[in-house]
Amino acid sequence: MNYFFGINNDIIKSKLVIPKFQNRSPNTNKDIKLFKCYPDNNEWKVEEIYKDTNSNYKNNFFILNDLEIANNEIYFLATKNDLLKFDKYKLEDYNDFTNTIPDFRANLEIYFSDKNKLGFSSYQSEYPFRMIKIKGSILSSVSSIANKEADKNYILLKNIFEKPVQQIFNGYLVDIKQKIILEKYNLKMNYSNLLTINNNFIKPEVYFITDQFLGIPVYISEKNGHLSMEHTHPPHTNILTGNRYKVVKNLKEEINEIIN
Amino acid sequence: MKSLIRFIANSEFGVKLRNTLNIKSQIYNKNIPRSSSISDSFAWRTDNTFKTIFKFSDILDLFYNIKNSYVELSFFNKNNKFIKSVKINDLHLSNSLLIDKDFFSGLEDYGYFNIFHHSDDPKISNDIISNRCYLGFSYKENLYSFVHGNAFITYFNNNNKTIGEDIIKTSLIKNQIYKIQKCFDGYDRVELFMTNPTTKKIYFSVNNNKYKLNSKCSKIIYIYKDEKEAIIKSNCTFLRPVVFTYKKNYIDVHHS
Repeated sequence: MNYFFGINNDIIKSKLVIPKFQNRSPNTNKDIKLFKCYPDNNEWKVEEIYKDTNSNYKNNFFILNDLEIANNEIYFLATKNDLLKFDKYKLEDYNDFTNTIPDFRANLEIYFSDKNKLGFSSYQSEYPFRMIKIKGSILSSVSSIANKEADKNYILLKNIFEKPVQQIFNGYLVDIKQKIILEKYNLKMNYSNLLTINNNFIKPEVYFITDQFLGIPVYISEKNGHLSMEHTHPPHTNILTGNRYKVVKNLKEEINEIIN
Repeated sequence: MKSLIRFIANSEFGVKLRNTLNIKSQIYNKNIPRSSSISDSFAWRTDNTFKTIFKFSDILDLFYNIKNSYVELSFFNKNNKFIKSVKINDLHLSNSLLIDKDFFSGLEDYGYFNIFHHSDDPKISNDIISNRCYLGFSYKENLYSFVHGNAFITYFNNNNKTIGEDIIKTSLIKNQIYKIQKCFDGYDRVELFMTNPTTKKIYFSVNNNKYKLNSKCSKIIYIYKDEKEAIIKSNCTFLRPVVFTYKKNYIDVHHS
């Protein structure tokens, strides 16, 4: 199962489009509903989002715009029966509708809060259930996607954790060759965090890492009103066999020594 | 007897038949040899003012501390005609390569390229690596819009120094459906950048408009303004385009 998310702040707003169909059997699922969930006083609150349109093609998608998206919310597809399993203290794997091969995609399109700037960019925005159950650390190459020639660069870091907590954890830009911390960020759990990257730190040896929790690092660049957004992959996805988890664990342990 | 059936079922024809009948379909070849470097068919564009920038990590240095490896990139045009190859020995942890018309001596076209990591270091003898890599597309000299690698297409085996193809499979009929999970309402123009990932001729339709692509050839398909969705039917098990959407001079590039 996948959760989905968006972003809404003074710099960036977003539109989230979630299909009601799977990619290889594209009949619209008429029983599936869209729900949102957010932490409140150490409990998960859940609400169905009612969307009604008259257009045929729009009936194949749930579309959330602008103010319908909040940074502390996550969104998921489920039937009303699935929700009988809802536990206000822990997110669950409610169904397998979004477990598909090829991967199920939504579309998260970002744009500027300043309506005079017309750039837009999108990516698929799915957050796999397996990621919300585990603690760990991110290791992401900053210069893989961040653009030194851009006016500004950001990391959109979405964390979703199974428990309805909103504690702070840390993110860092580190130079893995010099073994120094370049920047430290306070990150909120269960939140869409937007971090500014100093362009001087966009170098091959600079990595973004976190100290306790996972998340999806999505890089955003802007220049002259244009936008680009794309995420980096977890390091183990570059190795398909052998001791891939051990290889990555060893690397992360070595790099985590920089922040400890 | 069971082993004979398994042998036939896993043969090239057997897989094609399974995919045709939708019985235990196989999207990917799972028998890639160890010590291989897998590549996507990465799209490049120098047509219509486009420039492409390619970013990749030295994953052998990062993960295995191998310092003397190199990468080789091979470029092909939309008709799968070989253009040039580039060998890069001096690798950084993160690297970039600008692919504009000057890179191709003035050529304004589109196509695909592969990247393979080369090393004889025994540290990777038991592993298969796949560099995900990132492509940025600049339209009319504007900001690059980035998209990551999307599929496993071909591999180079560092043991026997051969290239393997057809990781993605085909069927005998056009029974493979992929409906792009995006609503195309509100864009001035939508293009689907398709590359045949196989060495076989493939047949496909996009919203019932019919096309065919020879081995490894590429084609840009336009989605008409009144088409808000795109359904791809093909005889290829994994035919996913890169999507270019336009609003005025602004573009967004993402995989589908």
